[in-house]
This record gives sequence, C-alpha cells and structure tokens, in this order.
Amino acid sequence: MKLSLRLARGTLLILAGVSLTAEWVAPHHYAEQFREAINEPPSWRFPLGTDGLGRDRLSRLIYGARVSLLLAPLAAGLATSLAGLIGIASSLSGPWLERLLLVSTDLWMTLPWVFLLLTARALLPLDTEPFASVTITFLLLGLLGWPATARIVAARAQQISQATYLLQARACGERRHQLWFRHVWPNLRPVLLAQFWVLVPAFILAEANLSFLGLGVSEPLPSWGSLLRDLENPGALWTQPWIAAPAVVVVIVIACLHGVLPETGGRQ
Amino acid sequence: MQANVAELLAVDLTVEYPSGQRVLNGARFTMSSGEILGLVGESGTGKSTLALAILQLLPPGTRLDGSVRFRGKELVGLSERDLRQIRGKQISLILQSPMTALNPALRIGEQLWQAWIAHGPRDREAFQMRLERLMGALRLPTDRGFLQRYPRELSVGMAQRVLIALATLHQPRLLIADEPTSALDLLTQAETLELLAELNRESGIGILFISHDLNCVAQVCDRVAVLHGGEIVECGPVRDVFERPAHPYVKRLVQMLGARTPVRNRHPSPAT
Amino acid sequence: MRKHLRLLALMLACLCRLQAAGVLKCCLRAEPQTLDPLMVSDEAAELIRYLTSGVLIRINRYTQQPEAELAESWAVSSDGRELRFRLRAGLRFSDGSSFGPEDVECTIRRLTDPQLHSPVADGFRVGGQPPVVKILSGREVAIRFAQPLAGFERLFDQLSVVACEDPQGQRAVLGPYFIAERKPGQYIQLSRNPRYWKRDARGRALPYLDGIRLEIQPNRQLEVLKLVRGEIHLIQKLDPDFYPQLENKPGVRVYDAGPGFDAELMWFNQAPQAPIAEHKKNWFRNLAFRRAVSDAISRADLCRIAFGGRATPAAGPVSPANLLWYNRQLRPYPYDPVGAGQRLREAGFQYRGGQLYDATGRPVEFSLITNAGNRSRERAAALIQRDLQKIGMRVQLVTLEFRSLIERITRSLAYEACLLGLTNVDLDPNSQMNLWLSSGANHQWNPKQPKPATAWEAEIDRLMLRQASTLDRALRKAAFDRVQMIVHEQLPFIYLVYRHGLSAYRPVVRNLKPAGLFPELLWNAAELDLEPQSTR
Repeated sequence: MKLSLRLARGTLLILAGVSLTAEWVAPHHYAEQFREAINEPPSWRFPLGTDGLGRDRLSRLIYGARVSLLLAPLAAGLATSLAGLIGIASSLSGPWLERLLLVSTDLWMTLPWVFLLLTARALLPLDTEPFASVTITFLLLGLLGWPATARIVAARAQQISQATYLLQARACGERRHQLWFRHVWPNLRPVLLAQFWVLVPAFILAEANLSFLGLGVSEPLPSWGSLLRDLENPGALWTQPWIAAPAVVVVIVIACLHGVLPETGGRQ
Repeated sequence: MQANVAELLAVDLTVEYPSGQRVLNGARFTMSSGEILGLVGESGTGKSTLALAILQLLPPGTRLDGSVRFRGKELVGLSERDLRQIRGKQISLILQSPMTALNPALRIGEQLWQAWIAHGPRDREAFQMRLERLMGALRLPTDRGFLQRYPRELSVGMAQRVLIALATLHQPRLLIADEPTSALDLLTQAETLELLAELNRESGIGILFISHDLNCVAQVCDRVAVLHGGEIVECGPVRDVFERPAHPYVKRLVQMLGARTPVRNRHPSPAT
Repeated sequence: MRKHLRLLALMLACLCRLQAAGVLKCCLRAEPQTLDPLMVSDEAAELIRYLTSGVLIRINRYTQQPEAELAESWAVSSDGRELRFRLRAGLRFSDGSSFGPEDVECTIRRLTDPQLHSPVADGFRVGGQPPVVKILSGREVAIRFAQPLAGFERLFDQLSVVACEDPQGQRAVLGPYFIAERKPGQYIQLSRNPRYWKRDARGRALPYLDGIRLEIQPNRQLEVLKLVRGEIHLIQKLDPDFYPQLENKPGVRVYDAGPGFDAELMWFNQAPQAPIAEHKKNWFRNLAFRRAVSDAISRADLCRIAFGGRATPAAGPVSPANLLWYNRQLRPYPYDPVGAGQRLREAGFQYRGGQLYDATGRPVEFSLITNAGNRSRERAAALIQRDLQKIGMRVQLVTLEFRSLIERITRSLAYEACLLGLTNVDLDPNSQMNLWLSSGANHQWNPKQPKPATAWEAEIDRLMLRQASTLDRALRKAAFDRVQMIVHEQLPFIYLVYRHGLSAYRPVVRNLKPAGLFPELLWNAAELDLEPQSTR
C-alpha cells in the first residue's frame, strides 16, 4: 500500500514535471508537420510515431498533458467548490430555501446542455486563442459539473447537521464559526475530495467530446482528449497499436489519482 | 421535602413538536444548588426533550411554552447570543451515547480546546492547567498521545469521561446528564456514577440526572422527579418516593423494581 | 399423390431459391425521413425512391445523358415551354394495375398541390407557376411550363410517377423493386418487382436480384466491418480514411472513380453587412490577398495527407467528373509560397519578424471555421493553417457543429473564412443560379446583394442569365465556361481539391459499373447480380 502510494505520487510528479518542461523535453514542437513522414511507426526520431499530419505523437502527448493535467484539476476544483457551497447552503438554510436549492440543482441537471454549450460557442469570438478556448471549455465544465456532487454534499451536510456531536458542540456553547470550521467542515471534506478525484478524469474525457461542438482545444494545440479521438477507428488500433499511448497514459493517471485518493481523503 | 437552600433551576414547560405531538404538558419541577435530581420515566416520555428544552436546543419548528428559570434568570425567549454564553459555561449537557456525541473527525485534544475557547481565553497554558486537573479527577491520561487520539480509538467508558470533561471544563453550575450510563457496561456504569457523585461533592455542581434506570437514580440522587404523560407526576426525596409512592404509575414502577433495590442515600461512602 | 406433388413443388421452389440471384445487402446511413417519393429530401429516402420508382426520363448515371424510361420518347416544343411524352405500351404497376397518362397527370397534380409542400415541386414551378398537364391520347401526354427552361429533362429524373389509386406510392410502383418490409431503425427490405418493364439484352426480365436489404447503420466503422465480414455487399461514398484499410482485405475490392462531384473549397467573407472588422473585409476584398492565400496552400499536400491521396487538386467550381460542363482550360494554381509573399508585398502588406502586417500595421490574422466530425476536412484545415503560417498569416481554426456553421454562413454572417465541401447534385448550371447570381442567398462570399458589388460579379450575373435563357447548348457551355474562368481568376471561392468518388464492394456482386453520380454503385440496381455461391 505504502509503496503503491509512493509510486502513484512519483508517477504524477514526473508527468507534471515533464509536461511543465515540455519545451525542453519534447523532441519536436507539437504543431510541426513532417509532411514527408505521415502516420509513421515509432522510430528514434519519432518515439511514438507520427499522426495523420506528420506530427510527432510523443511531443503532442507531452504538450497535451499541460492542458489536461493542469486544467482538468482546476475545473474539477471549481465544480467541487461550487458543489460544496451549494450543498452546504442548502443544508444550512431553512427548509424553504433548501427545497428551492435542491429543485434548482435538479433543474440544472435536466437542462438541454448541448443547446446551452452551442450558445456558449456562439457567444465566444471566433478568434479566441486555442489556449483561451480550452480554458473556457474547462471553465464551462467546472461551472456545469457541480449538480451531481452538490446533491451528494447536500445529503452529507444534512446528515452532519443532524449529528449528535454537532448538538453536543452547541451544548458546549461553541460559536457558529467553530461549529462550521471545526465540526462540519472536517466531516464534509472527504466527500468533496472524493468527488474532486472522480471529476478530474471525467473532465479530461468530456473536453474531447466538446470539440464536436466547436468548444475545447482547437488545432494545432493538443490535449489528451483530442489525442484520444485518434482512437475512434478501432481498425487502426490493430495495425498501429502505438496510437493507444494517450489512452494508456490517461488510464495510468486515473489509476494514480485513485491511488493517492485514500491518503488525501481518508481522515476517518 | 428537602430544605430549599437556593433555587438553581425552576422548570415549567409545555413542548409541542412540529407534528403536533405534545411531548411535555406543563412539566414542572425545581432544583436547588448542589443537589442531584433524578429524572425518571419510560423511554419516549420526553426526558431528552426536557433536557434540550432547558438549554433551548430543540430543533427548529418546535413550540415551547412556559418558563425555565436558571438562578432567577428566565431562559425562554433569550437571544441565541445570550444563550450561547450560558451553554457550556453555566449549564452543561452530556448527551446520551458517548461515541456519537464526539466528533469522529476531530482529535480529543482539539475537541476539548474548541470547547475551551468557546468561553475561555485562547490561552494554551490556562487550558493545559485546567485540563490536567480535570483529567486527573476523571482518571484520564493527559499525555499528548492521548489528546492526539480520535474518538474511534477510545473505549466507550473513556469516551464517556471525555464527554464529562468536555461538559465540566468551565465548571458549570448545572450539569444535565441525559442517560449517561445507558450505553455502558455495569462496571463502567458504576464508575461513571461514582464520578458524577464525586464531582457534585467536590465542586457543588447541581446535576440533573436523567435515566430510566431506577437503580442508578437511587444510587446517586437526592431527589427524584417522575415524568409520565408529559407531566411530573411525583417529585420528592428518593426514599420518600420509592418507599411511599402516591401516584399509581409510580407505584407500578417501584413494584416492578421489586424489593431487590437497596434504596439508600448517597452521602455514605459512594464506593460499594 | 397430391401430397407428393406439393412436396415436389416445395423442393423445386427450394432449388430455385438456391439458383436465384439472392438478396443484395448494403447499409443506409440514416433512417429515411419519408417513404413518400414526392416528399424526398434526404439521401436515404432518395436512394429508396431511385430503387423503387419509375420516372419518365432517367439521367444515366454513367453517361450523364438523359434516357427514355417510362416515356418511350419525348420532344420539346419549338417555344421551349412544352414537353410531349410518348409512354411505353403495356406498362403495369407492381400491384398489377395498368399505367397510363392519367397517372402522370395525377402525379403532377399531387406534386404541385400547395398543401403538400413537396421539396421536389420547386423545380417544377417554373416562373412561379405549376405546369399544365394535357392528355393527348391513350399513350401521349404533354406538360406545359410557364417559361422556357433549359435542361427540362433533368427535372423529370426526380419525379416518381405515382398511380392515381395510390398517390403515396406505397403499394403500386413502377421501379425495379418495391418495399416489402420495414423495421424502423433496423432495415428496409426491397423485393423484386415482377412486373418491372425492363429486359436485358437476351430478353430476360429484370431485375436479376430477388431483393435488396438496406440496413440502417449510421456508424461508418461498423459499416466497414460488416463489409469485411461479408455481411453486406457494398459501400457507396466510402470515407477516404477507410480506403487503405480495405485495399488489402481479402474478398473486398475498393474502387476509386477519380475526381467526383464533391469539391473542397474555402472562401472569405466579403459581405458588407457582416459583423467583422472593416480592415479584415478590406483584405478579403483584395484579389492579391486571396490569390496569395490560394498560392500558399499546397493542394498536393491536401490531396496526399488530408485525403490519403484520394483527391485531385481543384481549379474551379466544376469538376472533370461533370462530363458536360467541365471547363478544360482551367488549371489548378501551383503551390508557390514565395510568389505569394511577393504578391502580398506588392499589395502593400509587409513582413516583420515572419509575421505579416497590412499597410496600416495590423497583423494579418483571421479565423477559419469548418464543421466538426469530418476528419479529412479537419486535417485539411490544419494543413492550411500551417501553410498560411509560412506566409506570415495567423489562422485560428474553429470547428463548429454543422448547424451552427450553417447558421453563421447563411444568417448571422459572423465569420471570417470558411472551409467546406460543396456537392453538386445536379449537373446543370441552372441548378446553381442561387449560388452564382450576386442576388442569390447561396452566393456565400457576399450573399443577397442589391446590386453586384464588383464588375466581375456583374459579368457572372449576365452570363448566368444568358445561359439560362437559351436552349442552345453550345452557347450555354460558352457562357458557363466563362463563369468558371472568372471564378478561377477572381477566387471568391478558393477551390482546393475534388474528392474522389470512392466505393468498396465484394466481388460476388456482378455487373457493377461505378459512377460518379449518386447512387454510385446502385444506379444500375436492376442489372446487378450476385455470384450463385454467395446465395445463402
């Protein structure tokens, strides 16, 4: 357990390090097209081969980590914070406001998202930089991804607000902020952390799907989501197994995140 | 009736839940300083409600009529702010089951510290001094290792004593103990009763001892009040009530207890 | 004895079944929106209409020439407004009822019924008026239009003749097949029409096949997989990405019909009402700028990399696949980034540190929109982006969902440049009036102009109207050739490549004659046949 934890942490650190130093580590620039060498198999020059435009797959994987590994956790953090605030607010407030918040959470879940995202795309200027566009996409994911988590948080907060220890703390005359930060929050934190780690990989993949709506990363900037789209054609996987590398890396990252999870989330 | 030295608490309460159920219906009794009053009654007769009602801790939506006079001061209708000043400092409460009454995510030391700074200054040294005396009295270890523990790492008896420490940190005038022994095995039960009696003896703290167990009540209490149908049907010195019950319900209660109960006053040696 | 006879008959039937040609299987990529032949607007429905219904005149998909079908012959009146058909004798609908000129009258009447809102009807309302049908005899019928129109014949290729008794064409059809069974979302089973009129050279009744099974399968990969497994017999409009995969598969043949009718092109938004920066419109209206963009794009790389070699550099709006209207004088612009840079400098643009600036010092950057989900086109966009970067232009690629893309290029005009494919369904330039006339809604680079913005657009307007007002084919060809030349020179549309018509099939299918026009492999479905051993 201890070893696997260390391994998971180490892997994540190395990946983060490599992606942050992509300019020095990556063998080529992510946008460079070697047009005489499209769809090449792995070689010394292109360790993971090249894509359909002759771009080095390894370099794109490394640069892509920057987008996905940085922005997905930020978006997950945003979604979790929103979920936390709304979940806590609903459990804190009176029954009337609580019902209102929960109903609006449910409504939020049933909104026609594709339509709203299309509207978002329509409002976004076309000359948005690729990095800005992908940042906005993750921001949207963060803003949209909270309701399910909010429900879980609300349920947990509700449970905590009725806990005997909270009553006991009130009976001890503790102040409101003490009740909040010392009694409710430590019990809520593991739930939020668990949700956070679930949302990270979900967002990495969601970003790829949003590219169909014109959101998400735009050419030539790579993201893991956009690299995974190369796997759409299962036939190619047999003849060019190396194109599965991004999927393998994503799986490793998710596994590592889950490996780190019990440590960060398990105070009780 | 015992001589009324100084009135500590005078209760006259009617409580109705949001569902319309009337739990207390003019339950009336008084307590004097330094005495241990046993409050007995079957489960579900509103003993816990009464305990919460005294501290105005009933869930929102509950209707409360009547008065709770603590040392001559009316608590009903007091602001939350003023009530907080009283809770834990003047009147303390120990809730039923020690394992759920402690926050599972907080270390013991932290929980005690939080209860301390609720009324005391953020003075670690003063806290440490108070803790050492208190923990000694409660026969609890005071080393760092113990204070670093989480509630789940304690035995039930220990947790109960931590809870008592939590409640008596600020030397309140009144301690309400709601079924403090029901979750404990017989040995720990006896220990706890002893502790409460000792606290009462040494610091003159008044204790409202809520229990459905007449044995325990008989062991530690000066007087006993019997709650039935939302009212206090009988209230008096333990011996009087148990030996000459007037109310038919109390008669039945005492009969069921049988002759095996050694009714005795607490003032002779407590350790038997 | 009787019992034995029945058994024998049964056995014979089984034997015949083994000998019979069997059922051809292929996929539809979407559920047809309608089965009413007069209401067709989508490709799946169009295929079913093609396979089941009879028309007066058929455009031969191979020669691109009109051929007599239900009409034995036809003639255009001297004023060019009337078509006179002589119908084939003794034709019967699939339900056995006989076919006559009354059915043609019923068809036209139902088609032009304003209540029906038939998408096919628009072409028949020449000058806003529905045609008038006159029955001349038991075999002759005349159809009169309000105005003369060149290329009448092509309209009739779209018009399924329906029976008066069955105006929705559900039971009685005149085509080689009829709809035998339909399971929405799963398949449509067509069966051989035993009363189909056509015979082969040896006098054998067509069609050879017992039927065609059209499975509804929107997923292209699964379609390819089914072909490899032998569960279907052919794929039309094969995606170029699958071509190399299928090339070496046993039991599968791929066919590249050469340049098809689909052109990939990009254009700049020149509309004065477009909500984009004025200085950018000035670039886009500058011929030198458009020419430089055209010269800087390597069309050879687009063909080779984006389309896997299954495309040909394009020069103008009409591809060589269009045998009748292609302008042979046009040559694709050669790749010349150096010349492009030179051209830009001469036009007042300047380079600073590899980045291009206009005369007022603004950096040259624009966004290029294209539709998401088409991998070849997305690759093409990335290649163009890189090519233009080499002449100092910064291009932001934006892939949009198809409907929002259409919304931008037709209504809001909130875009700077667009990369798209255009398909010419109809070969005749008359079908492209809306595209070339400066007042047209589909005049993409500057739609719905009150009067032509430039001299060359005014000339295109004149030429298009001229070719439409004459029946002289040589005059029409000359006029339309000139239009193609102007478009080639002025580059309102920068034509990039013609995609090749690709298809794949299993060699057990006999008599295939792949054509460039839709339906590429099934256009001669009546003559298709399967090798006997494949019958199961």
